[in-house]
Amino acid sequence: MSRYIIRRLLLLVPVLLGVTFLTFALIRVIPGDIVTNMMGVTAANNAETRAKVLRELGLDRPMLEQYVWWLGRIVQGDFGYSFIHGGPVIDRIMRALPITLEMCLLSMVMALLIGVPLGVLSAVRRGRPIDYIARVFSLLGVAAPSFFIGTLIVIFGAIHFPNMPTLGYVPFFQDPLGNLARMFWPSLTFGIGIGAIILRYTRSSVLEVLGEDYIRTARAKGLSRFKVIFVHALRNALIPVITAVGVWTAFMIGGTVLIENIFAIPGVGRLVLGAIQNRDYPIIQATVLFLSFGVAITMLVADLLVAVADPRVKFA
Amino acid sequence: MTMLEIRDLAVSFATEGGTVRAVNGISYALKEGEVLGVVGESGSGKSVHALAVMQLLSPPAARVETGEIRFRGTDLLRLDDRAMRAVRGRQIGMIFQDPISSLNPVYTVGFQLCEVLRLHLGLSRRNATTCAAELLSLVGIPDARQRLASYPHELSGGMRQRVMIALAIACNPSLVIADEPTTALDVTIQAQIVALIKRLQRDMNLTVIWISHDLGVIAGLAQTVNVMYAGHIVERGPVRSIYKDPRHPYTVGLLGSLPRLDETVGGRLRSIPGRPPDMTQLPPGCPFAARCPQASERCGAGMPPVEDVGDGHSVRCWHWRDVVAARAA
Repeated sequence: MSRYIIRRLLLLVPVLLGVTFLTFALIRVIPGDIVTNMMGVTAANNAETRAKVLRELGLDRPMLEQYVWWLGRIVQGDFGYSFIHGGPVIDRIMRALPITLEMCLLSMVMALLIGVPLGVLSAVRRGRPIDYIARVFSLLGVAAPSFFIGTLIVIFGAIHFPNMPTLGYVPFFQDPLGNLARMFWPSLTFGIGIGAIILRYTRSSVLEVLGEDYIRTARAKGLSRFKVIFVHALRNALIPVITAVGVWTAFMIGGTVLIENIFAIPGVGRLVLGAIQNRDYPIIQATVLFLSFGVAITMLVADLLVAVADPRVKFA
Repeated sequence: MTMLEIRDLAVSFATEGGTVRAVNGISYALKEGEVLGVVGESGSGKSVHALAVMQLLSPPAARVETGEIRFRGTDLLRLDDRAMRAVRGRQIGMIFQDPISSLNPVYTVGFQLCEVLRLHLGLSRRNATTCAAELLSLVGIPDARQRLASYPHELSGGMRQRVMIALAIACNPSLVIADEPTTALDVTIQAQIVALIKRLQRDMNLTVIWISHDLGVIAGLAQTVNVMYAGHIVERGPVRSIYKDPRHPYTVGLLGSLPRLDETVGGRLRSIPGRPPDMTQLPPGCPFAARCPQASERCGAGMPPVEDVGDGHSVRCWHWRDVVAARAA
């Protein structure tokens, strides 16, 4: 298994090279000018100043040279300095990343708490009222965009739970309860959207498994309905769900931009959005590197979990 | 002593194409220690009637319309879920057709065996493990202790069917229902499985219902045979009498379809012409009439009654005397 993990991690190298190169090229292609953003229009129009700034930032060199130079620094653990703020990029990312990770984790917990039990219930009570309620909920959850659900939740939270802050952020170690209270609403927003999807996966997977021959065997053994469902059906049914959860966690990592902006959370999403607006290349490049690494690791963990749940899966 | 008595059992399925009348009023009794063979082609209701005995048909689509299933005197159809669960796996064990898909792929063989032992016999974890290993040896699996830790996919089809048999007999049941247990296996393995069940039946004095469409297997195993067609038992009797002296045109056709070793090489395989009836629209009369060489107008009018032809042999056909006469000629 460790061989498999090492191979997957090695495979990650070309993927990350591709992603960073694409990012590198794309941000230099989009319209907008870093000098104007840094110095203002008047200074940027002065050719001499302009050339000096570009030279200082290294932006006067050919793009490929810039990329190789940047890679060389990354390998040494140097992520460079922000064009706009001047501080080290790694400091800003390290401040934002834990916040985003916490939110993703809480959101996934929320999504699983919503999706799996409702999905199982919906499958087991197929065609009954609870099934229809769960299916309507999942349809709405999938169809409604997260900014819409998020806005409703901000309003709902503000009206009905005035003592519970809906916006902003406090570090966990400074005020654990305050932190969780603030993280609750954005996680719920994500949790509803992704929970709705997990619900659909779980429901169809459980329905499929309940029709399997080994479920009939379990019943023929005289096991109770509860044991048949939770011991024999659920573990099999969750195998495809784990893969789906992996994919959606990865999606969520990329989708934090909207939620963090709605709930004013200073995470990676906000960081990268601001950096794109300012054409702050070093921040964008480093953030994309971290996010794609996170996505890849999530997928790897999901694959490993599938192997834990399913003894038939062998690492090749 | 009567182990199982089925009276006028009828089962139907609600499908989009209409109501499928899978079993249409069958009755028979099974003595303790008896081996009953149930033959018939796919869709004849042989498996469905077995699932009805175990009450493993899934409502609301499947419905037992009428009848009684008396097991040691108790009507299983009147038992509540809890009481029925105490019968399943404990008093009646069942072996299914496809051992590949009938074992749970994510649990070890040991877990699946111990589960039933602990549930019904209340064994401790340790005792259940010992008992499970003994069961595996009993069904002819070598290195039983080690095999307990195997997952189903690590065993061959024949080994998996042995595990299924071990599951079915684990709690020393009085009745075992084997639903085409050899159909999915290689011919050489089939013979081993048949021999195994034969041995277990003798040693444990099991009562067995053996469902198959393989007349050869039934001939070597059963004492009594039920021939089913379109949800009816069309002929029933001692195995010798059924094979030597079949009275129903369908049984005659079935036996005639068996390939024979003493036949000319290259000769055509015989089959019964036509196809089984649409189970959603069964004819009012005998369902075999459309394919039957003996059919007359009378056959379309109504289902013939069960007629006793002696020696515990009974048949549902207006023309069984013609069948006998045709053979004599």
